[in-house]
Amino acid sequence: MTAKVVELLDKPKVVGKKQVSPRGYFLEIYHPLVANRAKPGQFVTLQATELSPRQPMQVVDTNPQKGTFSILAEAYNRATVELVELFGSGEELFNVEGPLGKPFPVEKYGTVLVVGHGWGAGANFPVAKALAEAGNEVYAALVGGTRENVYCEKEYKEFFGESRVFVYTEDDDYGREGGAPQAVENFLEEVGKPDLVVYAGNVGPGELVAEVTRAKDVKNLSLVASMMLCTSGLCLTCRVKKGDQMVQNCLEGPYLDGNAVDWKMVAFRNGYYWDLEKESLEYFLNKLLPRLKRKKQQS
Amino acid sequence: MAIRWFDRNETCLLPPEVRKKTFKEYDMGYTINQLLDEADRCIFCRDYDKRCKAGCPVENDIPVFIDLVEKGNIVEAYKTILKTNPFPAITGRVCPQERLCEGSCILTYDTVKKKKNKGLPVGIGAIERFIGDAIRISGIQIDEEIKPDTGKKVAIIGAGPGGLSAAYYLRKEGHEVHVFDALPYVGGVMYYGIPPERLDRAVLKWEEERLRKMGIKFHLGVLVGRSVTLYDLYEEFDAIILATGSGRGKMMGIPGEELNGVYTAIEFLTRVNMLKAYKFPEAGTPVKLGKKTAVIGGGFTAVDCVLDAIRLGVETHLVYRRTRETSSARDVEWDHVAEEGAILHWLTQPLEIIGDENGNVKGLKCIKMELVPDPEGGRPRPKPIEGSEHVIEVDSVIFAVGQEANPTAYEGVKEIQTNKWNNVDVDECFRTSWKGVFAVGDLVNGGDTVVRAIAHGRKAAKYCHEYLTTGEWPENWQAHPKPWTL
Ligand SMILES: Cc1cc2nc3c(=O)[nH]c(=O)nc-3n(C[C@H](O)[C@H](O)[C@H](O)COP(=O)(O)OP(=O)(O)OC[C@H]3O[C@@H](n4cnc5c(N)ncnc54)[C@H](O)[C@@H]3O)c2cc1C
Ligand SMILES: Cc1cc2nc3c(=O)[nH]c(=O)nc-3n(C[C@H](O)[C@H](O)[C@H](O)COP(=O)(O)OP(=O)(O)OC[C@H]3O[C@@H](n4cnc5c(N)ncnc54)[C@H](O)[C@@H]3O)c2cc1C
Ligand code: SF4
Ligand code: SF4
Ligand code: FES
Repeated sequence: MTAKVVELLDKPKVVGKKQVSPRGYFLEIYHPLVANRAKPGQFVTLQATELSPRQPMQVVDTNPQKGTFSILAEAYNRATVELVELFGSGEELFNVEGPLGKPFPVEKYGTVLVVGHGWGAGANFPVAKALAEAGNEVYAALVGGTRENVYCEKEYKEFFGESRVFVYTEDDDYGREGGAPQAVENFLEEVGKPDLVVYAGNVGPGELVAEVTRAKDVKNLSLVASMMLCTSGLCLTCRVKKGDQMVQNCLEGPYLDGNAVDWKMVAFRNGYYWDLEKESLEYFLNKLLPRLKRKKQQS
Repeated sequence: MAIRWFDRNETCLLPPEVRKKTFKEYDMGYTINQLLDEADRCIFCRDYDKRCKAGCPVENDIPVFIDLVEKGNIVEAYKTILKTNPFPAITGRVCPQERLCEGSCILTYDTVKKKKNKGLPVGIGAIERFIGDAIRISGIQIDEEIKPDTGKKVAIIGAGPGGLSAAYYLRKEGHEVHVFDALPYVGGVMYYGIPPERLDRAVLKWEEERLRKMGIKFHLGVLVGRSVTLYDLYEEFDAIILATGSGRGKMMGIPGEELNGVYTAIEFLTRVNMLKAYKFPEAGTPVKLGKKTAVIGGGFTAVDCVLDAIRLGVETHLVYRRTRETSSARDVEWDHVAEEGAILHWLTQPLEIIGDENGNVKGLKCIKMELVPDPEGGRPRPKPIEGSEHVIEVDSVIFAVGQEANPTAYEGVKEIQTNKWNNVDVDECFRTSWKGVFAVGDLVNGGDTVVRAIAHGRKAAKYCHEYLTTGEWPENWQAHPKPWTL
């Protein structure tokens, strides 16, 4: 029996934090609704404090009994740096919205290559497991700039077996050499044409993966990390061009037909606030954080 | 005593030079002396239910509370209002009174004889606001009478004015009330849309606390249709009130909308008013209009975007294809923003947003319009003037051209009948086609006012209470043919 909604509503807090690389953190968040209801492929929106930006994050794992779920945050922007700097041992979060987005369409596709770039490896993990449980032949490629942002290698290998997990680094002497598109190309050559490629991670590699799958006519479902704001279907900030349609990624995504998405537009819109995002982060690190630390020491 | 037709007390506004630099409220409301003097102008019409009261969507007993003010009893005046309207401090601020209560005040218009009168209406809105504010800052605790627990549970989806009003009146009947909203703040459009310079967030916060104290439970961050389904809630609750508004942002479908620097009004207002981009970088969410912006539209929303843009220090152009007189915002509001430096382009139709080589907005291409008589005798229509194309140089464009249905909560729920705009059909008692589910506010009329949503909420609460006590639901449910008249 699934638990009732009203029994699952409680104030969210961060109950655990594990640093796995210089910028990579797993956070365990108490939020019984998400813990019990999130399906593979869904995300949450975190708002750490009343003045924090809203940040979408994929659900990597859930523990329904404990009422917690985990995320993998690569802390590069204001929202994620705030999270990892200020939270980790029981602090209440201002708000968690979720679960959000459409669950990944878990069906029997045949052979599936799941490609995770950076944090995307964590994002894809529940999807990959569900696809395997649905009877697909699942292979995984975990890609990082360096070995430090290859995530969940152990978990993937334990679940899928060593031989089905390919590790790639772009600028490191670790695993195979190359990025996400190379992983797909090599797979085509060495294993054969998959029935589906699933991609998650930053937008740049996503675009390159789509170039390969388009050229080779391979079905592609990609997490599109477009800018988002309300994540509730109101504001259209997340609009993504898919074929000749405009879709609201927060409602229809986050996994969309990667071959049909206009990745250039996504990348380009994501870059609009680049300068201000930097300013925002620096202000936090140089002004707000020391102030908050001082306050904490005093009390 | 002679009727005081003209000497209406006007509220004090901060001077344009001051107010355009602050996101604080600029309408200061009445002073106590203005309040008492204005109360003195009301002639206490015996048939007020055909006049000011009929013009007010919640049907406030206006002369009754004005009389109590005159007698020096603000607490009773407040309690009188609560019978029909739980949020006087809000409506006193945001109602378009000239179209509602004040437009039906005998001093300006005789609703019985249907003819104009020579005077200026009683300042009902400002009086109502004063009463709400006075209680808010007095520290007086108004004990809400709440009936004993009924054991019935109601889910209200949407924490805008419609949902909050329904929550208030249902809680008073003793039901257990749970309000769900996707966003982390209580207030709906009043929080993320209407800017703080028109509605101080302290007011919203205070109203929220009142509701919490009554035992109403809020669950923020739950998007019905994704986080949970309507079916989940249907199983767990004895009744549901849908109050999800009709607030999805909209653009025009002109070339260039994918450029960087193009905003829907909802995105822009949400960044500034909800996520407090005006406090950037202390608040982490940015907004980026560049040096000059163009706001497209002629309603409430357009005015609010202009107010915010000016306060962000941006040169602000308003572009509207019709005239000032035919716009739906108030004349005085255009005066206010013009005083603050907005540049108003009437009879100007946007054609295309022009981008630079980096894909950023650099201008808005427009054409001038002229009004021509409508062949069918309707109001004059704007027609493009050939050869009048021109470019307004701007770095960003904000579309304030209305909102559309936001059906996430009920999409795919076949039990709920929707209309051609994808809003929800209701009967005269706000019942939807699904037993036990009601709908109120913008969701049923496609977009009206805060006070209309409050009125819906109160009435729906009454019918919902009836349903919860009797279990009765009409067998031949029929959609109301004109939901906008409800
Ligand atoms: C639905 C959804 C789910 C998401 N889930 C997650 C998640 O689970 N975990 C997570 O961490 N993020 C998640 N994100 C957010 C993600 O962090 C960003 O939105 C996304 O990476 C932006 O991608 P981009 O390709 O446009 O940015 P990019 O510009 O490619 O990079 C993203 C950001 O990181 C910075 N950055 C990247 N690499 C470096 C580097 N080596 N050194 C310095 N700065 C660097 C960039 O400057 C930029 O600010 C999610 C986003 C969405 C929309
Ligand atoms: C910019 C702007 C300015 C305005 N100014 C005025 C004014 O000055 N005076 C006036 O009288 N009227 C004004 N209006 C109109 C007025 O705000 C609306 O008529 C009124 O807010 C409608 O109330 P509502 O309760 O129906 O819905 P809303 O206020 O729209 O509230 C709906 C709530 O439901 C939530 N929601 C939606 N979908 C879901 C879902 N699936 N799950 C969970 N929650 C959901 C939303 O997050 C929102 O909080 C203005 C409107 C706008 C856009
Ligand atoms: S609620 Fe609005 S319309 Fe009614 S009396 Fe108050 S200000 Fe006037
Ligand atoms: S119509 Fe005007 S004068 Fe008459 S009772 Fe109402 S507010 Fe007073
Ligand atoms: S993020 Fe606002 S509509 Fe998708």
